[in-house]
Amino acid sequence: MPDTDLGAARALSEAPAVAPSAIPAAARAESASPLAGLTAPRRVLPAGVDEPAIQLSEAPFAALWQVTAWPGRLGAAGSAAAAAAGVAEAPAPGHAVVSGDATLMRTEPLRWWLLGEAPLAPPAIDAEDGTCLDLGHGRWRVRIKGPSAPALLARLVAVDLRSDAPASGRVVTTPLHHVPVTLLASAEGADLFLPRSHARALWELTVETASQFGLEIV
Amino acid sequence: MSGYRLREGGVVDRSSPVSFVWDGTRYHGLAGDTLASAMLANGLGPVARGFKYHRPRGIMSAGPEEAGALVTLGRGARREPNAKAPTVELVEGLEASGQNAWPSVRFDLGQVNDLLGRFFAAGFYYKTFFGITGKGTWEWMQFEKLIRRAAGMGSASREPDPDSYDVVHDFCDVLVIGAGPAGLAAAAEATAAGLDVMLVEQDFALGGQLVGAEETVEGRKAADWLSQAEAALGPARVLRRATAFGLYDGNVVGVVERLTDHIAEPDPHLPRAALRIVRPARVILATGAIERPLAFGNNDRPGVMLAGAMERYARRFGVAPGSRAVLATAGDGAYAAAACLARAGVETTLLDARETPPEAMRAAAEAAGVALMAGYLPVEAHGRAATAGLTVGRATAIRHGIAEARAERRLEADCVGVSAGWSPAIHLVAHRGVKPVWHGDLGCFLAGTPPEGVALAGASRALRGTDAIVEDGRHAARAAIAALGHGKAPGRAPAPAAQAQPAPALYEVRLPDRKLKTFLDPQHDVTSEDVRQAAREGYTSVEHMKRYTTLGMATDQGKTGNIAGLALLADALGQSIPETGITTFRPPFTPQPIGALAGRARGAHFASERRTPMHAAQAEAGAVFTDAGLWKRAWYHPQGGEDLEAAYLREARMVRECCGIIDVSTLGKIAVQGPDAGAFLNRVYVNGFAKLPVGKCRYGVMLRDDGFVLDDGVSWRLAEDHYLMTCTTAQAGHVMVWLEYLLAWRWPELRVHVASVSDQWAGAAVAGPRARAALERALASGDVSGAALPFMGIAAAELKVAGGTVPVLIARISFSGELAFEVYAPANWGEAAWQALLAAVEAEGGAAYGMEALGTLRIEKGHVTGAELDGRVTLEDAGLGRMASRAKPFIGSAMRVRPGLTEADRPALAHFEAVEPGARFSGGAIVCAPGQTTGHGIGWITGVTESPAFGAWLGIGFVEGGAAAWEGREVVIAEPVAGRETRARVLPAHRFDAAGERMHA
Repeated sequence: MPDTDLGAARALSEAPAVAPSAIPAAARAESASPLAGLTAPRRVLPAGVDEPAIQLSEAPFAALWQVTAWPGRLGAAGSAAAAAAGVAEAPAPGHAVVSGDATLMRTEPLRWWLLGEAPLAPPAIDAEDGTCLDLGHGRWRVRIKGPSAPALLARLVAVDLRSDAPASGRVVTTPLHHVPVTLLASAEGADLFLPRSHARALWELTVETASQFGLEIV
Repeated sequence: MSGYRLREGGVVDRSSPVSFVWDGTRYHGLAGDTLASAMLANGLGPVARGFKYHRPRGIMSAGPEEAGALVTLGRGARREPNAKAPTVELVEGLEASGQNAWPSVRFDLGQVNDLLGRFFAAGFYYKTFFGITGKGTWEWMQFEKLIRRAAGMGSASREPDPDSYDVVHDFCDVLVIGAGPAGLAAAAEATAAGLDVMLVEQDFALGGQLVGAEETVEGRKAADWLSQAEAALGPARVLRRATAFGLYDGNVVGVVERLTDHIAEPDPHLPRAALRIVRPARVILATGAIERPLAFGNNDRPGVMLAGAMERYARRFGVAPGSRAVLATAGDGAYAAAACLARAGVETTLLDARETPPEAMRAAAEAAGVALMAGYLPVEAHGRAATAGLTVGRATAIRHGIAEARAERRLEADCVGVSAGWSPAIHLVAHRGVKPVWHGDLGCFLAGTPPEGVALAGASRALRGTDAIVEDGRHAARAAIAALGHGKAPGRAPAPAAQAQPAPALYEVRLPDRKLKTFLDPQHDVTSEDVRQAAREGYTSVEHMKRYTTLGMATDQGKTGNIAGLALLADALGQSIPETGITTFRPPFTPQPIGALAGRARGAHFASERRTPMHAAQAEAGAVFTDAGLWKRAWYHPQGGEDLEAAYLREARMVRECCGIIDVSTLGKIAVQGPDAGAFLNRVYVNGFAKLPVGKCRYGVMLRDDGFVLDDGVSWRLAEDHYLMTCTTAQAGHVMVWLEYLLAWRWPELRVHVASVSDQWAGAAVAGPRARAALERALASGDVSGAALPFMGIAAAELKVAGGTVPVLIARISFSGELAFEVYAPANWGEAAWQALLAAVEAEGGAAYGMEALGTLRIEKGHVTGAELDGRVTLEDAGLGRMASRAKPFIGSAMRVRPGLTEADRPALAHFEAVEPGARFSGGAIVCAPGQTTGHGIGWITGVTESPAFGAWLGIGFVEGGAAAWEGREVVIAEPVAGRETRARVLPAHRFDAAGERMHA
């Protein structure tokens, strides 16, 4: 029995062999939503509420790379992440910057998430600076918008979003019903990045909670 | 009772009648009423029965301090006992009923207990349950049942709560608790300074004592002042019907907001209540003060209430408590109430224990038409179901607040109002551990120094006079504004001042020649004699006295009775009130619905359910699922009406004879990346991983520091500096935390990153002699031949799926003991991968299999799972001792060789086969030596199955010395609860295809 299959080993070591962005999109099967069957457009309006004050939708994305810096190599790792995102400077903890189809979020002191609305090459990070990991299939994005978005978010997460400036998104990783989720706040509401296996349960919880405000699933 | 609606007055809407049902009869109140004011207006009474003696009770207060009018609201699943009538907002169709009585609160057979009162004295339960003879006898058992049935207050619904509740997280600059004059002024001041303000008020109206008041506030009519104050709140978030029930560390405030109880037919989408967890920068407690009653004879009769409550019913609700009122005070307290009643046309007499009340007060009272009797005390109320007269007398001596009285004469009265001082509501600040301090000059406890960020204002600081209270509220707001950097710090806060003419402390009125029934805590039927008895019996600590007498327990937590209770205890012990102290205030301030604490975490949302990417495909095909932690896992895949047993046996045989596919997406998956990843895993696992070639995977076991097994799994080396670790479903979270801890604290010098990728990958195992053939059918590219993908090899490949291809990682790993592959696909393609692989498996004659069949296969093979690795098992116990590296240290390597963990007779892994045909035993059963089936036995069973491979009922588990000591011998497997004993033969756990030819095929 040979110790190593060199072909496979090379493929695996040189680049993540199964990174979704590495493969021509046309050849790939459709992505399946963990929310299948739950997202049909509809309105839930309690008595006396004429217009929904919450719009809820799932918002699939094309790529999500996690860049983690070694302590002391934050600057270099951040530069690589910023370059991949097409922004001048990597954002500070708790902040996000958007450039075209790319959003760079500082999710932890030593960590960024690079989100691509379109397929996005992984950041070219030197092994001396940090590591890069594909999370593109591990999270599912749900978008909350509408005038009652702050009230709904207050019922989901314990985060003070009062001073949120519309220009730069705020990023926070926080428990939602004891499940770690990453939240990207905006002036209109927030995007929630849910662990894929929990997405269904958390969507249902969000729908149940949002119904009191008048909800539209779009 | 004697109450009625006055012709005018109150802030109720006289044009909006509201009907409600009391004990089956329909009555009418008005919009703006509480249940209590509507009951008073209808002259209803008694409305409740006492807890122990079943004495009739009426409405005693106008707030959450209510100790008398406890009622049951609603019915069916919405039945709610122990609601305090004064805090229940009247809503159309409200149903309320009496409780703790049979057949009704008007005529209750239980009142016989009142005659047996001396048997129900303090410590009744302790003495009864611990002290009397005859315990254990049949008679005792019947007696105990009777007592238990008689105990308790009201009865809750046993049906699930039909309503929903929210948990809300709020943030603000200043949280003002209480919307009386101080709170309104504070909130307006802070709002005007541009701060983000929240104001919470337990009532449905803002204004506290000012609602309906006729006094002048800052030169304006109270109503005008109130409406201007409300308008000044502007953008502040004002929560009505919201009780701040607890103040916690970091000044987190727990608030329950009642959202729909006041709506006759709320929309089902609306939550009934919300627990609001408020995190303010500053807290201002404008919680007011609670009036204290006076203990005199039969002071629990319907019609006896707090003087301030009488005034409140008259002013706010336009309801008089009776037509002949006697009020009693030892200070200035009841004068305003007396004047208010007299002006409303109630024949009012005011007893002031002071011989010479302040002249101005006397003049004002008499001008209002109050008959003032200076130097008089209430001695004993008459009547039973309602007050019918009051014997009054003069004090011969007042010592420590206990008046010896000489009864003089009986006054005609149908209601009695008492005021024995005020207790500032310092409950919330006390929740933070601030000790209450007794102020003899003010006759009350005040809060000690509040913690950083918390301030008290108004009557909660014992301030008197609305203007002073308003000014104090503004002062507290200015201090908060300054602390938040928005203004200059104000000067000193207004100081509370004693009354112009100090009032003697007064808690109880006694007669020298006769014992009166004087209640301190009407809600729990605790009398002043109970407190004295507790002192006599040695319960000298106020906390012990509370528990022995139950004073200050129950739903009002002694808001009115505690001070008198501890004053009487102090007197009985010959010590001062500060020496005696007060019982600890704990949250909640008032009872709150448990549903609100649970929020939406109930039913299907009790915990967040996890589904694998392959779930839906299996569910649609008819799989039956089981819970594995939060996960749903396919248990078995029935065909043609199969039950569990038929299905799993078919599935297990199918894997051994052909092939099958199972969803293994729930396995924990952790990316371990960085130049030191290999070195890190070498320290974590007992066996070596640093030299594992790229493109290979290896089974590893990790120990805890104490040498016991933590978890096992296979780690794949994807690249020089990238491993994919898998761990058991059950321990995935634990292992992740453990690795993060090790890197953060023990070995920060290692350049290793870990991240959970459990949700990134979907995984399926294809197992069985035809597994390779099946897999090859599904491949678009890649090579899974024996040469290209040897045992424990990894390959990248692509699957043909509907609509395209899916990239996968394939590892040749076997849990079943058969030729097997684990195929991992990125999660969004997991369903497509499952469908493609299942079709390929079916084309080879196989099908999907579930957890139960997997259990059969692994038990036959002797592979361990979390059932075996339960935290008490060493490597050797699990039969894995040879895996431990001698060439390197690893976590647990030192402690695993300590005495006790290396003894040869430790229980070790073995197979157990039932000897008699058809005999079965269960997981969790005890393994015993023959003839020794008592005690803890010599081992235990962790898993069982009908084994197609061995043709026997097969168990896996542990026995002292393991198979080496017992091989071929019989043991008895005992299940004492089921009363079953089964003979079984002990065999080595690793005997199915011991040479591994099948999985190496």
